[in-house]
Amino acid sequence: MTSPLDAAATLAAWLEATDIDLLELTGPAGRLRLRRNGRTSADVGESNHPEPDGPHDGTEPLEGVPDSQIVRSSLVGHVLHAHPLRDEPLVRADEPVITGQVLALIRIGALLVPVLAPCDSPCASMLVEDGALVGFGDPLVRLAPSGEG
Amino acid sequence: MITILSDSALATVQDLGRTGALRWGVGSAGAMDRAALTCGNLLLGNDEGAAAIELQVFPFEACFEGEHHFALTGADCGATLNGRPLLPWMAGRADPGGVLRLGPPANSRWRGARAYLCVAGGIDVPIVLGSRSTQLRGAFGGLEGRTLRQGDRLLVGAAADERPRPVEIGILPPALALPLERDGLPALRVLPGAEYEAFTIASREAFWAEPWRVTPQSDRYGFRLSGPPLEPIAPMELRSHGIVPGVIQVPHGGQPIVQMCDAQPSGGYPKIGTVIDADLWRLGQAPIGSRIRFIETTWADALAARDELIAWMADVRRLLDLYRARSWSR
Repeated sequence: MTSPLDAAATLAAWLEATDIDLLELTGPAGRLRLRRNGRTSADVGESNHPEPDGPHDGTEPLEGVPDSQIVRSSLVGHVLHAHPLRDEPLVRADEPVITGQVLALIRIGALLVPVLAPCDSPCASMLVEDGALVGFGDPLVRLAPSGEG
Repeated sequence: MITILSDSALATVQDLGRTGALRWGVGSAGAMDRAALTCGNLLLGNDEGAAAIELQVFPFEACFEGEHHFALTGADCGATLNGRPLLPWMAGRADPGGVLRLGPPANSRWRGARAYLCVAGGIDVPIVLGSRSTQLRGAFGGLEGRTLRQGDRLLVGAAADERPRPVEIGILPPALALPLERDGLPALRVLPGAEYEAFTIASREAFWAEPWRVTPQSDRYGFRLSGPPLEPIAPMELRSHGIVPGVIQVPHGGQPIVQMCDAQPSGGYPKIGTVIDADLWRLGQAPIGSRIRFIETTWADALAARDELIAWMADVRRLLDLYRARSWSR
């Protein structure tokens, strides 16, 4: 099997011509990440070691909001505010959410990946429209700090 | 191990069915919605045909005695685990003692009639004639060849070690991904049957043009439909011959019966058509009292529909494998 690294130089050259900040490829052999204006990190082979850098690295901070209150996307797909079978949204305005609760779904093809609340919060507000396409690291949900809301 | 807590009737252990036994007069049995069963198993990394519990009477309640990964597919029954709401068509994890509860199917954007509780490793009942499906007519297969009862305890098979463990993830129900409607009603593609030409032109036209209601006399054996009477040009007396799920018979009285998974393997009523295999799952989810329509199709289009369903499942499997590999590596 050829290594994804063989194609890294070609991919990097193609990326030069785009405004893509981060390219992540995952396959059975491992994961390749190419980042504009940053380090190139690549995991090839069985990689069980943790993320080479923090999950929020390389993403734009949201003005005036501590990053601890922002739930970000871990993948590329379309944000759904409600399950496709249901009309009612997963999160209602001004209602508290609990740790592990599904705040939104990200649809990739036929997959529905849940976005989970990392902590309890008095309320959660969606930062992107239903159906919007989001990328890695994009802010999805703002959680109110405890005591607020 | 899973213990059945509720006394809900008509729940059975089913897999994809007992194929190849019709020659001995043994019907296929198997899940009424094989697409939902397959999807549930894919969500868990099971073999596609691992056995699951088919539910059609609610509420249903069961207790997980160990830590189990499970998936609920089919009708959206507003399920809860220890009182906490679960999303439909999604895999989750239960701790020992976790109580799962399903209510009646919700009137959601797609209303189904049957739900499937799939477990990582599959429901472990003995394989009889190549299948774990409950054969109610012959009283074998499944759990002691019968419907499940309060207090029944079902063994769960060992999940394959080499596979990535299940993760909390869902899939788009095939009813939404592969919708099929005609004039606002769920539709099924039908091949004209051996005696199609023996019905009056008016009856043949009505068969395609009119909606058909699923009557309360509809179950795993067959769906009795009501609509305009279908009349033969001349009375027909046929010898009994082999029939399979999907065959639409028209007995005297002209109200059609679609044979389903627990159908007997032979019958002598005239056959006006056959619901194609790729659409049987749609009929298996049609609630009693709902209306459906038939769409005339061809052999080539029936095979294309089967290929489309298989390709969609393969794509789901590929995406799930990629996503699990990605989660695993993090």
